[in-house]
Amino acid sequence: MISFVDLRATRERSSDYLELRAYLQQLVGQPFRFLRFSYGDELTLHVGQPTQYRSSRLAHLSRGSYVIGARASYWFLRTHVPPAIIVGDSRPLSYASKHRKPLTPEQVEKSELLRPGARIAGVDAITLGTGTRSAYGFGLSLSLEDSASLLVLPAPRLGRNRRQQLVADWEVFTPYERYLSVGPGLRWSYLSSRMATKAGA
Amino acid sequence: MDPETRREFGDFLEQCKRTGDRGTKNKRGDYTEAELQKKAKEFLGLTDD
Repeated sequence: MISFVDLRATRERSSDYLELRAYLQQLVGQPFRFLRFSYGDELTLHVGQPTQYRSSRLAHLSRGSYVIGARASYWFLRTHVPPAIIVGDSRPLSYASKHRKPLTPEQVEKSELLRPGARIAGVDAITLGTGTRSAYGFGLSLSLEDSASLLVLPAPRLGRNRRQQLVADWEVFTPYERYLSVGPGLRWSYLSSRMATKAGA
Repeated sequence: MDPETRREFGDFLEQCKRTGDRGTKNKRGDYTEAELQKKAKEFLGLTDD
């Protein structure tokens, strides 16, 4: 079957894996701009065209026309030069071992580990599960043309409070006033980013 | 708050923290619920701040 997906339309609460992958393809070819940490140490990737924030409170900053937010998920950022993995998880920044050097969000933002202008070469959703457990969520895999990559994996829900239980695993804001909200669990939506809904929690 | 405003609000809070306008919830400068309510009003232009 050949089908058409309108990126300006909305899609409420789905678990269709192929359709989720289709919505993600709008990121392919978009240039990486910069990393920025949002409140709660949420990693966000700004890609696409430089755009103004809507809020006048942030008039001094620009954003990407696409913003990928890791929300409360774990993430792994692989850089090509130097060859390294930057790991973001829920453990405190003071956590360290001889194999892991702690970094602050500011250090990661200023590190220039990802090359501005590098285009997204591929992006995909990953169905997560184990041999003994059925699928429990969707991850995000994204690669840049210079071999850098990002993997976002939903963090365990255990120990989260009720409000945190409702938070999406990851999100993609688009220039079409739509945003892709994925998780928790095997569900996703593609909704208006300018209209408050329960899914916007 | 719509999803895009909520996302921008997160960036605003982080910028506030980095410029010294920190919350009192913990050593990281996170905000208490009451402080978040106040920051939301400030962000949305509902106060003179």
